[in-house]
Amino acid sequence: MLEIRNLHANVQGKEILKGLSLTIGSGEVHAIMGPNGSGKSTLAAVLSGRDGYEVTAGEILFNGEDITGLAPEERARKGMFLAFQYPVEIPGVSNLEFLKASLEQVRKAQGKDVWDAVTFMKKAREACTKVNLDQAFLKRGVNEGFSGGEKKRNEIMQMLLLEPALGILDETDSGLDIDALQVVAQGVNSLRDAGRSFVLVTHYQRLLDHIVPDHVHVLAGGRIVKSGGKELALELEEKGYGWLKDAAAAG
Amino acid sequence: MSADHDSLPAQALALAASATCPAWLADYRARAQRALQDTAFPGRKAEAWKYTSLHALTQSAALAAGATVSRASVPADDLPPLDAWRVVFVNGRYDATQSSLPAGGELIVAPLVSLPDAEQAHARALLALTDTARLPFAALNGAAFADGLLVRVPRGATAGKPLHVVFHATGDAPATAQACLLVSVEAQASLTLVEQYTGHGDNLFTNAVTAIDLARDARLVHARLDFADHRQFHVGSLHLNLQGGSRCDAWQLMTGSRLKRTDLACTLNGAGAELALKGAWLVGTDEHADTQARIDHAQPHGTSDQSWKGLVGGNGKAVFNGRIHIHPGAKQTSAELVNNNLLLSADAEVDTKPELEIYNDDVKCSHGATVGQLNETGVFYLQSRGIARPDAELMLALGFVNAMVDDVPVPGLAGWVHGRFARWFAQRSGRPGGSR
Ligand SMILES: Nc1ncnc2c1ncn2[C@@H]1O[C@H](COP(=O)(O)OP(=O)(O)O)[C@@H](O)[C@H]1O
Ligand SMILES: [Mg+2]
Repeated sequence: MLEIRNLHANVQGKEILKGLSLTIGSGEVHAIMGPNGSGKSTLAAVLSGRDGYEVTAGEILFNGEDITGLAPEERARKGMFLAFQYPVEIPGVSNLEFLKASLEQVRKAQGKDVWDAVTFMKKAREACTKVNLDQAFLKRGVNEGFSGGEKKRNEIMQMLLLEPALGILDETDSGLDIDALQVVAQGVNSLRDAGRSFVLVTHYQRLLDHIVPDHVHVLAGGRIVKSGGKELALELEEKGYGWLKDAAAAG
Repeated sequence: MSADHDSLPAQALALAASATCPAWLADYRARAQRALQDTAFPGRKAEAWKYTSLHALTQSAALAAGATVSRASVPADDLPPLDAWRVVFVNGRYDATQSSLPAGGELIVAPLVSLPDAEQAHARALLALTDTARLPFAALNGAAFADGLLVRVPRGATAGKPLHVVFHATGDAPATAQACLLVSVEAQASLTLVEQYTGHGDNLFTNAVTAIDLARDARLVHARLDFADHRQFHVGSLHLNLQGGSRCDAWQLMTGSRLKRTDLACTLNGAGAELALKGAWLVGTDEHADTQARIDHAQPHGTSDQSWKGLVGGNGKAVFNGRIHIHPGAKQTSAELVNNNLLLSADAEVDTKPELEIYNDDVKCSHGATVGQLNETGVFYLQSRGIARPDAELMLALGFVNAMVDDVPVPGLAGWVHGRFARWFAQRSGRPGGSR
């Protein structure tokens, strides 16, 4: 599904990712943990093709195709989805209008039928119900005045509708209470299947109680310094990252 | 440069001399003509006209002639689909064939040329609100208008439907049309008014004056729309007098044109008056829009709340001056003003200046202005959902201004205005995002 080889990336001339490699197979869930400032959100931005995040070396293969030159919208249309750590408010553009434009573009590019207005409304309402978001949020400006938890649930709602091949969730669990956390986990789990993969960026073991990962990686200093199974998350919870930072510095 | 500027008063006076008006307006006409003779037309050195040149107007030959065309239907596409009484003026003259006037007594609507005697005093009182001494174009209007409209809602009455007044400018030859709208909402009465300027064709100049009086505890919803042809010239002034306990919710919505200048003069003239004003200007390639909003808090316990947004693209230029003057007696005043602008290109320009003059210390007052660019994080967010950059930019830019009209309490208006904004973006903004 996704293969990242020796990825180096700069932000404003400063190298943040320093030779990161990671392979994600179809149907797998990978958790990426790591200290603040280690480059997790940068990785998510680089994967989604954000302007200003410059890949200086290495490659990103998505279903075998090098996507480093593609615009964010092209990646989205190929089935990538990023749930933002800080979802953006878009005043004056309703959630509905936004979802409609998004779904039209993505489904058309993927050769799926574009939903008519009735089907679209039905699907949108269902998605709201799944993430426990009142339908009134569909009429409001995108994320405008939403609470932190509402913004995160709105991200999952979009993901449910877009049905991406690869979902990248950047700290979607941060700042959520236990109910909201379960809503997010159920959303992800309901999409899990053999053809769909997830990257979960998180600080906390607790999300991984609900979405059990196949692999756990530690990102520090711009590269993966340790990988393991789900038990690695428990170990990190216990020991913190200190013992790994030395490894990163040495490597 | 100075030569053509010097010709402006002469052209204006010649225009005024050839105008006719009903006899009962002769006094006002004479006063306005004197004011026109006495006031100098502003040069660039005048602070209030610092950023707006009249050069294009004086060069256009539009001022040389009053409009002769007085019959032309307003294209349906120019009009929002409102369930409203409609009055249409073509080049400043009332067109009965396109108008539908209310018959009942709760809303009196009458063209000035055929105004019943009993209404003339009302019209005169409203004309007295116009600041012809300060605003030379208001003086020109008074000196040269051929017709106009009186609207009156009697004490305690509520107009059953909105009133939609359309001033349409059209024709092939350069010409000037005066538009004059006089509105009196009497004590405890209530009105919803949509005032609209439409037009097609080059080298036409609309010089508009609107005078509105809200008596005690009156209510007015007022939307002033100006999306006329960008090749036209428009100078307009709105004189709004708010008496005690009255409230006005107003929207000023416009696209730019070769010359566009709007002066608002609002006076909170009685205790507890409230003014909520929202505005948006969309100014694109070869367009200009200059808005001067002047609010006078003359009495205590007044509230004014202004929010203005500007979207400027191409080599467009927007000018805003928001002046709030709080008089010594206006204790416990609350006055707010924000103006946020979004520049869509490197050549776009905004000159925005809030001005506060506060003459007592028992006030709550805030003002602020920003000039920024499209939020790149927002663009990326939309792109990450499969929306191409030009469309993402369009959504963000239009969302920014669309939000200003979402709460206009006139069914059918907000959606129509959104469509107009989208059309401006596609045709005038200089951006490629108009394809959707
Ligand atoms: N837009 C940016 N401009 C400058 N520096 C940035 C930017 N984005 C991230 N960085 C820097 O990159 C490093 C990694 O940040 P980030 O990827 O957000 O870390 P994490 O998500 O792991 O907490 C930090 O040192 C941060 O300051
Ligand atoms: Mg982060």
